[in-house]
Amino acid sequence: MSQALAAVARLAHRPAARATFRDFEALYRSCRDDVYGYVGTMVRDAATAEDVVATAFERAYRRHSQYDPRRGTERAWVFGIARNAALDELRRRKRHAALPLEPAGESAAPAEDPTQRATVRAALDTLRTREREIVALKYGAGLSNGELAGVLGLSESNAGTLVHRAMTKLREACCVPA
Amino acid sequence: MSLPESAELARLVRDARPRPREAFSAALDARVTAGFPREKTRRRRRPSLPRPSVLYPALGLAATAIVALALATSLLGSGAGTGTPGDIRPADHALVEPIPTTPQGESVVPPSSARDAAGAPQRKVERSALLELATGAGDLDRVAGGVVRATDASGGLVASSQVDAGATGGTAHFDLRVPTDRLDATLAALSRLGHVHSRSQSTDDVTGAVVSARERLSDAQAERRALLRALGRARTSTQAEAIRARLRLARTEIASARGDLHALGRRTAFSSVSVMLSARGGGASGGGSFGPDDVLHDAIRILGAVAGGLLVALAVLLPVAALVALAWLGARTVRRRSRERALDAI
Repeated sequence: MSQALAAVARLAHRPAARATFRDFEALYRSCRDDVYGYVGTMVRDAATAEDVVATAFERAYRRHSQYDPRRGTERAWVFGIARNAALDELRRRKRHAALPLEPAGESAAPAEDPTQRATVRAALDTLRTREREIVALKYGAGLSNGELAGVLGLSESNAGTLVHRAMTKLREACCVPA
Repeated sequence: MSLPESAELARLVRDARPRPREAFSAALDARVTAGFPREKTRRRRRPSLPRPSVLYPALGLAATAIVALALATSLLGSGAGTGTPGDIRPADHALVEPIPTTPQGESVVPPSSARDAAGAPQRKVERSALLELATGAGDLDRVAGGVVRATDASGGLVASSQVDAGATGGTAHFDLRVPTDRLDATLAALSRLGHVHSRSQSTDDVTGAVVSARERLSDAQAERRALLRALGRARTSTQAEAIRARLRLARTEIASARGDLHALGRRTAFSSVSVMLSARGGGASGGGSFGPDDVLHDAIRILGAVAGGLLVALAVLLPVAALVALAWLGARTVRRRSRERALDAI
């Protein structure tokens, strides 16, 4: 009964649709490139990454009214949706013929040293998918450990440990001659 | 490449991340600005269901209300105890065939046969009823008079009556004989006189007794005819006297059988109605039918029935809800693990 009353209360205090849309547009502008970078790291195919990112933002738009601030930040919520969409795509790819893995988009940021960028990319490729995902979320998308824990369904301390391990492994991989 | 510092490595990772094409970003920006319009082929948008957090409790409440209402209705319809008006079901009336009779009871016992044209025994049923009425203290005389008037109007009679009236109320008891074919109408008229506390009817099948009396009568009449013929053929006074003695016995048997038949006819033609009338203190109740205490009594009864219905509904719905919740959690866990496995497979 109390749950029903709470649901009714939430409906009564639901923000107007216009304000919700403005909120979503701001959220989208703030994390579009980060979501793409994360999804691209996961699926490692530019066309697939574009499809997944578009699907994720459309899902987020349709479900924006369901966002609950008590369960984490809006960024973490969007990354959770993107992660589920990416995993669904990976499952689909597993069921069907595997796509050739191509670099997911080009880095538009001018690196000081293109060699360093290539080295880091090569080192990232040596990581396991879970480690690569953690690195992408933490340093590619700039999520905090708390947000990372929310996206992955882990505790915050566990997320911090995993980040540390992945970065150590990445640092060591950077030093290995190709 | 030398071992990079953490901050340097983080910057390098951020620089190395994939970036979207400008064309893709522009197209997605446009879709967001347009609010992700649906494809034109979808002419009609299906009405979307409310969110689960609203839908499931609402469905649960609706189902509980429906089950509780159904249970309360059935509980109220069947009555909480014996002797209430709700106990008089149509099936009870179906047991009693309407018997065309006259108040004198002569025609209900046709001397020719105890069976109808089809050969099946015509059922003879004796009916009786008990009615308990309550009324206000000042209404005892009025209601007692109403009982007599209703009895007269139905063509019945008051076999006995006893009225004990006091300052704070009183009681009255009536034994009525009402024509069976007007019993229901008479009971309805009597019930309107006061608040019905209880009303019950009973039936007693006396077909066997009627058939037995008819057969006794028929046998005695046949014996009398035979004795009369024998008397005509008697040659000595001794023989004649013996036949006359047997004739007297036959006449006695005939009278007894006829008496039994008439008595049974009266019992089936007239129903016995016992009316118990009680008048309580606190004043008249506006016609004696429905006072505030009756309202309170009925309200408590209805609330009790509704509470019982809710309890039963909860007892049914809670396990179902628990099973649904478990199934939902299980499906969610399976889907989550399936996604995680996809991550491990790469």
